[in-house]
Amino acid sequence: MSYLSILLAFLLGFSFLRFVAGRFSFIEILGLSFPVGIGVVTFVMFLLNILGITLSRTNLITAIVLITVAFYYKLIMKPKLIVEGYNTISKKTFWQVGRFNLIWFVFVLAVVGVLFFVTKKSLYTPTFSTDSVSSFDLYAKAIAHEGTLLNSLIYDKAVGFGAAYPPLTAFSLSYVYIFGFQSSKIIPALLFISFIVSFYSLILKNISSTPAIIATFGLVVAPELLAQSALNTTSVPNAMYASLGLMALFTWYKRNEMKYFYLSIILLSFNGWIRSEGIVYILTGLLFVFYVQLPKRQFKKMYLYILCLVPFVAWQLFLKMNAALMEPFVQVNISLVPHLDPEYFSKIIRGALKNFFHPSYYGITFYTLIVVGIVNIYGVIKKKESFLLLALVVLPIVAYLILLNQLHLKADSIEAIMSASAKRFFFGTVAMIWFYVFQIYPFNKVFNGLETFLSVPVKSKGD
Amino acid sequence: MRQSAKRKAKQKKKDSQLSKYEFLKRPPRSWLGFLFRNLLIGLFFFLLFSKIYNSPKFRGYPWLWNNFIVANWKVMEEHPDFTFEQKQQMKMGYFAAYLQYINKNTPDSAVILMPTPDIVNEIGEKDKKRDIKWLRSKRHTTYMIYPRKAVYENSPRDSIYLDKITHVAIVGGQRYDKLPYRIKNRPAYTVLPLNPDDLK
Repeated sequence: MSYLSILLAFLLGFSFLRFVAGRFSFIEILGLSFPVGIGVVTFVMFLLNILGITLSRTNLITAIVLITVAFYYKLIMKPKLIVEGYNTISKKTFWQVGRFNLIWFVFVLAVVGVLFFVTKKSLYTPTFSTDSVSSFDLYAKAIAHEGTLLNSLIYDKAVGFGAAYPPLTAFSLSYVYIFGFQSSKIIPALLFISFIVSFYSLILKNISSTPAIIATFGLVVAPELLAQSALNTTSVPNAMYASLGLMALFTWYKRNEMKYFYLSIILLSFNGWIRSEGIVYILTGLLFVFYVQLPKRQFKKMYLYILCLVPFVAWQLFLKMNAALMEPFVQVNISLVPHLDPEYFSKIIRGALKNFFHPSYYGITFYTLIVVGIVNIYGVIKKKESFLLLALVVLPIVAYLILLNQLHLKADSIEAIMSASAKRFFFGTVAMIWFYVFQIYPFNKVFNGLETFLSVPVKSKGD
Repeated sequence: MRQSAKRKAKQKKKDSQLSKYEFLKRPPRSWLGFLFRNLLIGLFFFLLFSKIYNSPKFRGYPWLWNNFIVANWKVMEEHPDFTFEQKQQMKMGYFAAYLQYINKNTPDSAVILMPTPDIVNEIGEKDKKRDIKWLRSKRHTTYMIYPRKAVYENSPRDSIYLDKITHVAIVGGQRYDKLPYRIKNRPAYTVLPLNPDDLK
């Protein structure tokens, strides 16, 4: 029964993607279905909660099955679409995961090995990180047991600040508790696998397979990111939704395939449904779409993209409507009046730089960005594509720093946040940097050449 | 005239050099060539990664391998059959063991009077073997015993539960004074009902 819940979330994600965005390749389906599915499940849980329906096993199965069937409605009514679907999966391109060479294969083995280890560790080790024990996992237990967000822990103030975070994490952990899992650690394990598979599948749409797997390896071994990946907290899943959302947006721009535009909306919506500061990635996405679409006067896409804000706004409304109960859990308040204190802002910048180049946190990631950025200065000035890609890397960092500057902190000082917590804020940027480095000139040329150089022997016509 | 001949010769030389390296832009012709090319680039990557791995600027990588992957792998291999409770004890020590004992000996609806942080500190000083520091944290304790309620006398928020207490957590032999009855055997760590009729 418990594993049925995972399968249901996967199927829901797959059907939602098919319904909203379109047809994806095998590896994209494999990577994206679970994170999208669990995102939809948590939003459904939120709606049920708002409607006063208890979050029980029966209610959840009923809701998820009904929604999944609704997404397949078109397919059920038009059997011709099933034949079309069959034609798609019978194509070789649907199953393609990369061009074989030994370098590619060794990196695939290394990435799979790391994923295997993280999954094993995640499933073996019970929850013990303070944030999870005192907030997310504790809150999830209460949601599962009492069937509602406003449960006894909220009334007794017996849970941490995590209760006021957008509820994707708490709901997803409670979802597996509702279905009888003893530990909720299967969620971070599956989300991390999905993150890496999706990252590879999306980068593969932009560059050839050898640099794609090297970039994936670079991401997966970013020390702090990997260390946090086995914990059931919000940082890594947030980085996943945020970076994949921006990657999908760039893929849409480059390939002009609308399914990636819709995918970007879905993923960035869930990024705002897991941490409120996910707004920095949504604003980056919005700016990107405005910049690209405004000269063309295509306003429809700009309006569509605003849909990213729906879950974020829904949660902020929920907090406002239940302010008497939820206010004590709100860790920070945002000031809309510009905080013009250069000394304070320089503390934030210094703290961020310390994190970027800390020997234990992100490995070579930010050094690579600097080197590649310098090499590509001319490309950024001359080529719109390079400029836009760099903007997707840099804008969230700038927006994050401005956001930190505008926070009214209740529990900690800015110095404490920059030295202890901020290392988790830039995981999304780490993924974006690895997405960026192999795509720009001259690295794309070198690696495209390398792909041919390393490929399996081809028989010439004369042979 | 002479200059243009020179230029032509230069261009010819350049073209011949280009065609010399043209094979690099084509896939290998044989499996041996494939193997050679892949091993060559593989060696380059190996040298590059070992340079990065050994650089003090990136000490996160050796930490990741030695402390995160190898050390955790060893622990998992040493105790593959541990139950969920044993794994919790492995991570949180006696704190987990004690609260698991409470879970086994109280109903889900229990409202349990926990020792105050001062008492936990005092006992922690005396009894270094048992790590119970997390008992000071209501959230950590609640995490372990939920849906039971942990009540702390000194917390104003918990005052509404003081008259609903059903059990008393005995830690380091203290808190027997909170029971309205006397018992002969006084274990150092246990949980006892407030109502003597509920004694097993």
